[in-house]
Amino acid sequence: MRVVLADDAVLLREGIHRILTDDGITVSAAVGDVDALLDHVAAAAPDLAVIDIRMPPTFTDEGLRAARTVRERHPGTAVLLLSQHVQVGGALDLFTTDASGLGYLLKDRIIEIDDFLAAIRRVAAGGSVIDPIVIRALVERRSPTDTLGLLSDREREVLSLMAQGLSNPAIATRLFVGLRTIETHVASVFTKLGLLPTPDEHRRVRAVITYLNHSG
Amino acid sequence: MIRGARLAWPVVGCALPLTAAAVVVAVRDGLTWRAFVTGDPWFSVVLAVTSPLLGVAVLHREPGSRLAWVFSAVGLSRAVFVAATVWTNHTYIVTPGSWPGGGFASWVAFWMRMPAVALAPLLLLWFPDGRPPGRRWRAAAIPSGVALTAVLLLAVLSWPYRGPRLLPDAPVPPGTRAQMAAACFPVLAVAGLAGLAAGLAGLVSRLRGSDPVVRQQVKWYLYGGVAAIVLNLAGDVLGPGTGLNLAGTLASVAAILIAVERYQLWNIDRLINRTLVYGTLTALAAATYAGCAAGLGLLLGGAAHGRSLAVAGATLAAAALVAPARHTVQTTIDRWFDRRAFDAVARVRGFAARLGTAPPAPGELRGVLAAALRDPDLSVLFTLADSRVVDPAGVAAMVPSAGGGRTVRRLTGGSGNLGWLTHRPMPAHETRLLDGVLAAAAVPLEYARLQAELRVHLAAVEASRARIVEAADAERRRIERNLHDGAQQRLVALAIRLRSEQRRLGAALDPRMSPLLDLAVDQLRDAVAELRALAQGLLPAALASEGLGPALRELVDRHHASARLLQVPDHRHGPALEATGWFIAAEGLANAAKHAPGAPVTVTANCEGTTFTIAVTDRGPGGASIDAGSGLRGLADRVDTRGGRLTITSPPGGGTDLRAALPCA
Repeated sequence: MRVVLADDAVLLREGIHRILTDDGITVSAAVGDVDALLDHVAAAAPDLAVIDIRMPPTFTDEGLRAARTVRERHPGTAVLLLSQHVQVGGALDLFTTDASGLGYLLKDRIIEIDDFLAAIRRVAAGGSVIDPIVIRALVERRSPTDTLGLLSDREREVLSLMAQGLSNPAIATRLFVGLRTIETHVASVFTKLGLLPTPDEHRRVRAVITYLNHSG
Repeated sequence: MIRGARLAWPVVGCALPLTAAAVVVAVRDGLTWRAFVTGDPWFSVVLAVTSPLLGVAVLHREPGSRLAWVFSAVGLSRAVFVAATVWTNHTYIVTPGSWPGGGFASWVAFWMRMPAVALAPLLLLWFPDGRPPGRRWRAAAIPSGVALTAVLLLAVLSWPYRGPRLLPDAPVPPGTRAQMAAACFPVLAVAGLAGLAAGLAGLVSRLRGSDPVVRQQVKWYLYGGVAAIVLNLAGDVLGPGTGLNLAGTLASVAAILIAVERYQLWNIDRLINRTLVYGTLTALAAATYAGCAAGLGLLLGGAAHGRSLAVAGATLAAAALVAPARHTVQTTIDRWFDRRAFDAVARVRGFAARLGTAPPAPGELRGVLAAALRDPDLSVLFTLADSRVVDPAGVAAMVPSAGGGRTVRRLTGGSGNLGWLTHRPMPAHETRLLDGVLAAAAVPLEYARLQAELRVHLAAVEASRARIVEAADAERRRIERNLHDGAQQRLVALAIRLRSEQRRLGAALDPRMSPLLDLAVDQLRDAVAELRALAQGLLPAALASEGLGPALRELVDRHHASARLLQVPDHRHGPALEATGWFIAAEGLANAAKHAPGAPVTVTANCEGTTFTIAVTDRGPGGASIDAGSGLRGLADRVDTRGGRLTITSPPGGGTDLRAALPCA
């Protein structure tokens, strides 16, 4: 797997570089600005681009716009967005068009190296990853009068974990309940939201995100 | 010029007493003079009195004016004519042989009728400035010159011929002279009529191309001239006793008076005005004196000292009356005489009187001056203490320059240079109106200048305050970016480095080191969380990149679950307005979290028309006020800077509603 890193913070970039290399992942380039990133993606067509949302020159959403360009012009390159803090607005649009091969993580997550590497692999393989904090923000944003208000507290908790890409057994383990219970909750969530359950993990995330975004 | 003025007054000094004496004698003689005069002798009396006065008035306004000479000459010749007629009548008819020189007087009476007729066309031709209407009109004065010369020549040559009808029993002069004189009358009549026609044509030609006021003067003068000519001719044809000549003269005098009064002809209204004021005052004082003296004399009757007491009392009463009466008389006569100037000044005075009770809007004074001076395009600019020039609203302007049909006048006041008035060109007779209006507007002008100055300073202060707020916002953004992109990133990078080393070493790592490394990473994570919390009070990056809506959503997301974002603007606003909205929401949510933990709280932001509203409403215990905390005070100042208003409604037990309304584009 070949990955391109785009972050203007040199220390962080080197840190990620080291983690990936140690794990046997090829870092095809590590760049500090958007232009270099787009040039490299166009030239080398890496499997994944890890992009910091805030980059020079304005440090607002250069990375996000670059991610949009990458997904439009190079569908073969997956994108994992990194952000220093919860900044969802623009990123959500990306997920609603097509969530496959797309991820969004806070930079703090990188510290849990195993989780981070798992997320890298899942996104590179065409899956989706969204940071739990972002999911929580999105779920909590719903007003009780929304359709989502039909869900029980437990079902909302399950939905939140589903959105993070956790499998049913993983949710069961996390919530200390039986797998059957979780499957019931998931079925109930999909029924209440009018969504067809599929085994495909990233579709689950995408369905949830799409729903959240559209009902917001 | 001085010579002209010197001669015009002696003409009045001769003509008026001469006429007055003649009228006295004529009245004593039973007004039998009519028998010797073709037409109405009173018409000559009116001419003898008014013409010299008009001559003086014209000279007063335009020294050296030829028109003044014509008036003086007409008046003098008529006065001499009247006097000579009365003299002849007295010595030949009433009391024969009583006065000497009857023959000479009858000769003068006969010939002195003519100059006025010969000169009349010039009164039309040279009106109102003593010059012909144009170069081509110079020749139009020739018939008058010819007629006048012919009259004087004939008079001398035909001495002592006294005319055919003056004295039935007078000795008949040698035939040749009588025939010569008789033959000259048609020439005189033709020259006179030709001159009158030329004069009228000249007057009509002035109607074109003159300014409106002069045109009005000419019109009235023309009415008078036509009336005089028509009525005099009719009177001459129909014979004496019809009063037509007198009517014609009175009509022309009335027309000239109207032109004087309404259109400031020759600007002699001021002269007449003063004469009338002091004449009325004198009459009033005299009447008071006489009345009081008579009344007191009766009262004090027999007493020896009664007479002197009555005189003293009457004098005191008359003196006491004059001062208060002067103002009333002056006002009444001003109003009658120069209604336009009076109205204009009264309008400005009224405005000045209202200054104390109702502060005027900027530019209101300009409107008042424009109406008073009848110049809708009039403009007023003020000079500030630092020599900058601004309009009444305080907007910077250029020093006006004359041209384009506008006149620029420098305004001065107690504090030196006030500013500039740009107005339409004023004819000479209107400058007094302008002076009067500006004198009445002295205080309002000072007031308006101070207002403009205040406005300029206020705008400067507001601009500087807005700049300070914007600079503070920019600084907040910079700090937030530095925290996120600097300190936080380094801490995260350090934690990652520790973790990756820990992982790389794996089993080779000293087992005692592992908990230490975990601790270090946990501490780093806490430090990052603290930094993030710290940065939340600063302006978020999302505000600049994505706008107020997403930034508010993040803000509400960070709040506990009871917060709801109900409405956000559907488009972007300026960075200053968005920052203000965000700060209000952040402060409102922070207050709600502190004073109403767990209570439902809503945030609403929208823009309707030109008003942007943001409100944070909770269902907490209420009882908050803007003065309660420096946070709200600072917010109120910030909203004020943007020209908006921050309100807080927080009845005890009724929740808290923090709301700001701001102008938006």
